[in-house]
Amino acid sequence: MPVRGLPASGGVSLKPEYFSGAAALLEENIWFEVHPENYMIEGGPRLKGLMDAAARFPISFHGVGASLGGPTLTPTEHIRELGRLIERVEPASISEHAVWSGVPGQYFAELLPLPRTREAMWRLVDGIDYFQEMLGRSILIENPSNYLPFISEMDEPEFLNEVAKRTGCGLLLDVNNVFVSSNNCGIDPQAYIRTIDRDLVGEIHVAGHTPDEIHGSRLLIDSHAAPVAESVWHLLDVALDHLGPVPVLIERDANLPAFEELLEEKRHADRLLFRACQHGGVAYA
Amino acid sequence: MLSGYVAAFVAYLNHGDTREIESYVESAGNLDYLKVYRNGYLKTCVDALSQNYPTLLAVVGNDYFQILARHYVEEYPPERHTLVGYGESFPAFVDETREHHGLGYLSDFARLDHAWLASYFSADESPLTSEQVSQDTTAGHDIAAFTPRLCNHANLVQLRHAVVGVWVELREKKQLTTQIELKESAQTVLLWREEQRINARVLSEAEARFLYMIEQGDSLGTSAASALERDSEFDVADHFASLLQHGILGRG
Repeated sequence: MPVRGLPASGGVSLKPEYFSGAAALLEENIWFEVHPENYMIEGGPRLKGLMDAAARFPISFHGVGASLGGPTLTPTEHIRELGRLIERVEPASISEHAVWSGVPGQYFAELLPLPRTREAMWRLVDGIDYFQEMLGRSILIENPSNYLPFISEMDEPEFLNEVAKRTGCGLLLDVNNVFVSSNNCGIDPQAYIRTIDRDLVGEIHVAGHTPDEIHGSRLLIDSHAAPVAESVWHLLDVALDHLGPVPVLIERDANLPAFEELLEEKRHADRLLFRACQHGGVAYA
Repeated sequence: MLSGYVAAFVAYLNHGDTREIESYVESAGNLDYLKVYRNGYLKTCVDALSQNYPTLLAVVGNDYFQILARHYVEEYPPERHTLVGYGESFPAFVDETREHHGLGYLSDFARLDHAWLASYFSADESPLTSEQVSQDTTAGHDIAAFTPRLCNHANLVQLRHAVVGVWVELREKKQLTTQIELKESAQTVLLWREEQRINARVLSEAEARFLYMIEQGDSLGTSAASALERDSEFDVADHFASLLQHGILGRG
């Protein structure tokens, strides 16, 4: 299967609400992200909208349902459905999360944290190995948002670097997640980013977060329901300085704004990427 | 340790019980923050039901829908690792809980919403055309022995109340513009996808009989005869032509 890479430019989340906006785009230097689970359907207008976009633009599949660190391997039926969709859409990139989201017979539809222990690391390694083998492709895995600290034997960057090296997968650095985790669990976000192995990162995500209704800004929620915060843009700059120009997604899943507003954020990401190129960052190959 | 952690987390997600999971949280952690995961799980599932059953939501209002949906999630949590189409048994659940809400017509709205979704997400296919039927007839095939089938996007729904008019209005306008009385009166409705749009039409008794026979694999001749038993004036040719025109039939 031919695999086109994502360009080192800004991309945006593609929702059915944005299909007509995407179709009218003249801009070539853009890519789109979708959650493949929303397209595990037989046909119809939604799938057609995705196929139309995929005919013109690179697509990134950002999965939320594989439960790679779960107590059992990803269900075969899920991988089969994903495989069928990959054949149809031919995405440029496939990513998932370093989390778990289900047990046999129950799917929680939530990115649940893993304790950062050796045992959990090996469980995640087994899950990723199996998933990549079944798909016949390597994937990127994303750092989670943390809301409280669970018992751990290692830091998250070390955990992720180790998992990537043992499985051959790459990393997807979600800068908003780093920001949210640092706020909620008291870690140093810049030190976190600089500890991530730069050669492993194939994609970056930025998104908006919201303060919890009760705890306020002491507990930030990775809601994807607001514009990217200024502090996250700043952290993106730090990440690009460390990583060089890497595809940057403006991730939006709720409280959807006008398509043009997302494109404005994408253009801002493009400007930061351009600056990273000028500063001699190393492009991801 | 990992299996104990997962079991403790599952107990928390399903019952809100923090007793087991708290031993896996570092001392600096605020246990109240765990709610992000449990609230997130329940909200995501309820939101999926809201999206999949929009007219049921419009009829009962958000507060009652939240209660109904939350109970459903607790009783029938998602099994597939996607929420597309989640809530297949929600219409039956709404029916089962009738003694609580006392509204017999709610499950009819749920059934129509579910059929809409099934039509919307069904596989694309080339329907049988009148030209193909003409060619078969010209080639000497007996049309009465022909066994077409309903296309994937065509769904028959049986209702106990005459809610289709209200359902269509809610689907299109999100709210009712006039007060309508819902009568207990059986209806059979055909939903189908045509040019990426979902259409709905109430069928006469003969039309419904004809399509149910086709759906179960009977020939055109047998289906027509059965429909004519229901209504001797049923215009089989006209109905068949209309089905072809709207791309509702496929080759058997």
